[in-house]
Amino acid sequence: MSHDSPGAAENVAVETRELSVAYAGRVVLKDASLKIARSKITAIIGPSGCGKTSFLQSLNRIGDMISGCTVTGQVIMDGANVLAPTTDLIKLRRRVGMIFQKPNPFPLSIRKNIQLALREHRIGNRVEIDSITQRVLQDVGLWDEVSDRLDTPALKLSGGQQQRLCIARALALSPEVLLFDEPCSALDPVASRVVETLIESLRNQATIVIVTHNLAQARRIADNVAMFWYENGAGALVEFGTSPMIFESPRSPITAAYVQGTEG
Amino acid sequence: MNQESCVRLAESGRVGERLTSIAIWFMASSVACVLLCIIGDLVWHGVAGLSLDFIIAAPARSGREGGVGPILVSTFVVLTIAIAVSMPIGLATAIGLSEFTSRESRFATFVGHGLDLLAAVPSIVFGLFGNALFCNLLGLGYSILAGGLTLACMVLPILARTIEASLRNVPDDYRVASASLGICRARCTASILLPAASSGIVVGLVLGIGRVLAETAALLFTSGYVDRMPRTAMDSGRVLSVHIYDLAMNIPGGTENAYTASLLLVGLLVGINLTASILVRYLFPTQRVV
Amino acid sequence: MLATTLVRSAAVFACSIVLLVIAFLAREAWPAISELGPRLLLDESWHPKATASTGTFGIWPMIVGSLAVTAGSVAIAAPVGVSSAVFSEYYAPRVIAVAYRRWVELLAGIPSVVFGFWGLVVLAPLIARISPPGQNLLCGMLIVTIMILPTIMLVVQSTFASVPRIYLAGAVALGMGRWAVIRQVVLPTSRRGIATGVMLGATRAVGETMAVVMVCGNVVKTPQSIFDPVRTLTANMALEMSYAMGMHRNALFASGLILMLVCALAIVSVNVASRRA
Repeated sequence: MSHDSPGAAENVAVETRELSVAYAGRVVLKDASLKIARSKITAIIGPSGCGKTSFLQSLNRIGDMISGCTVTGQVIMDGANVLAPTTDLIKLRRRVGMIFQKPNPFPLSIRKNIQLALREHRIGNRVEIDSITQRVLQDVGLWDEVSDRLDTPALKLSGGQQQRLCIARALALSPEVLLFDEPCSALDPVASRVVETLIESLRNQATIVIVTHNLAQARRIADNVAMFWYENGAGALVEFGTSPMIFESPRSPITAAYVQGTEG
Repeated sequence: MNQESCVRLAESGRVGERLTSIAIWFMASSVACVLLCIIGDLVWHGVAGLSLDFIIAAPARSGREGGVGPILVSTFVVLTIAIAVSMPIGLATAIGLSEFTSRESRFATFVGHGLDLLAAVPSIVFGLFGNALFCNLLGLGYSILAGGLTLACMVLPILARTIEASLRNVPDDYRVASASLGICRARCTASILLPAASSGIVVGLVLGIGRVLAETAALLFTSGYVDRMPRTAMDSGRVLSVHIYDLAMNIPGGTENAYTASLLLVGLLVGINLTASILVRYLFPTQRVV
Repeated sequence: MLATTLVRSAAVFACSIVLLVIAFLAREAWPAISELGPRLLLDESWHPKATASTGTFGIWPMIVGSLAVTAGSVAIAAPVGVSSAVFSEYYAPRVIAVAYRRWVELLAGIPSVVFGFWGLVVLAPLIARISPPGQNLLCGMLIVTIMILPTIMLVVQSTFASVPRIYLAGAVALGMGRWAVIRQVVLPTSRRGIATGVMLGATRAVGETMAVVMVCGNVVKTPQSIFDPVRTLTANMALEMSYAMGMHRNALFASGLILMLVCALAIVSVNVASRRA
């Protein structure tokens, strides 16, 4: 099924066409087609097992890490299909960053966490790297908290701080798109709020796609919302529209039932 | 992210990565080649002499001719004694460590250290120990029995650790369910946990058998060198690995039969391992192997 | 209650065997330690007799022999073993990785006497072409390398397999290539496991007897180059135990005790290190 993005004139950062994902032959997502608008927050909602994470993982092709994972269809960024075998994955992942459900800083110092990828991609000299480090830590609100202990282990930070560090780490590469896979679900409510506010503030810097179980969160921060559900034993896109549309006047009865809490 | 699937990492296409890739493939191929050389050499020179006659006949002319019949018998008896003695103790130790003590207790740590130390003792030192204890102090002299008992000591830690690990691998859900039904720990272990861990127990047994068959140094001074057919376990007897050593080092012209005996020994070990993995896969298809 | 007593007694019995081993070694070694003492290291040669006064009991050349074989084989086997583990875990396609691992496990199961035999009839003659005789330190190092390689590789590979996927995913999501992920994330995280594997390999190398007896040449002399024949502590015991009497036998037991303590130290340090993990 194909759904128009709300306001078709808007700038499209990523477009998927009939994106399907299967693991060792078992289809988990079928024919998801939608247009993700640039510099907006798109939330992906729906119950567990409907292919939301698989959808997200196809956008930066991190599903490639899992053997037996097959992705069909198209993911168009800047006119090129990301799923093509000729795609330079390293360049792709510089442009499309990902933040995971469980904060996963490297077992290294805070400074090294941010600078590892910068050095790897040969971005900037030492002076520039240090200034990028400071900038991104300021962006995520960690600078005041950690500027005096940049060389201490990142794993000693609290859960919320670790997740913000992971966001800073991704921001250091100046990505065009940021993918968030339920970034607050492993955090306590206070840390969760801080991260959520941070994600909202990043709207101007990058296009944001966030998978979330938390409907209230989606209502608070999302511009556009995609509703996923089960169809014929696999996940599928059911409805896609602006946030007010999905939450107040959804077209599909499934969406209506889900956002009102009577299903899923 | 699925935890069980194997990880695939993409290359970055940079020159450094390409070179590393080539170097690693080269290294791995060299290792595989070396092994191929060794096995190939064994097969090439040894397969000619391998025959039923070789397996049954007694050695003649110090082993230059004839076969390894009595030697296989000695080997088998040593193996049986070693496993028969170490298996019950190893099993009991493993059960004790896994089910009847808590992992952090001093008892468990102490026993664990003891087992690890035992596993680290070099085989020649075991030979000296066996000689001092079984041959001299207990008066067994150079005998298959002394050899079997010495090897039982050597193999014990392997059995105990492997069985312990496979018992720990059994999900706690079983223990919880059994406790909630009022089943006592001993019965739970015997009726539920041990069967659930049976694939791991088989693996441990195979490892132990492999160790016994491969052992040479510990037997030089405990079971001796005699290559005649043993009549009782108190007789001195030569095992296959010692026979290979003798043929290679002490008997000029023994190289041919040494090759055949080596091929036989390696073949035996491979055969046992293969049989065990097939057995485990078909008898216990649902178990998670350690 | 009965069951508890039974299994606990078995456990106590099992771990007390090692105490028994040490006790017997010490008992037989005691005369040598008390009468010879530092002579074991200081005597200028090894010509042992049944009494302390008629023979010399310097085991230093054998200690050097053991150290040289161990150091040499670990120096080669460690990097090769780690590379093999990297290959098997991250570079090889699934089918090849499984086959390679089975192949190496097969190597691990070959008895040391077969390795020694192969070294004797194939490797030693090859080395003899460069520098006769072929049975020397180099031959010993190479054979022991092949023997401890599987130990190191299998331990290191299981360490790699237990690196949390989430670290790898984080690195991959940042666009890091395969070797970058391995070098920057996997190897630093696996330091302890690699050290354990290398230590276990070294312990195995130090305790190796049959293979070194067959390929090292067994001359009691401190080696000056890798083409010199050497005798290790283990080979010494294997060759002379059968006819050693009196102080000679005691001295052999003393060298066995030393060897045992070295291995015990190695294992204890591995355990302490991994317990701290």
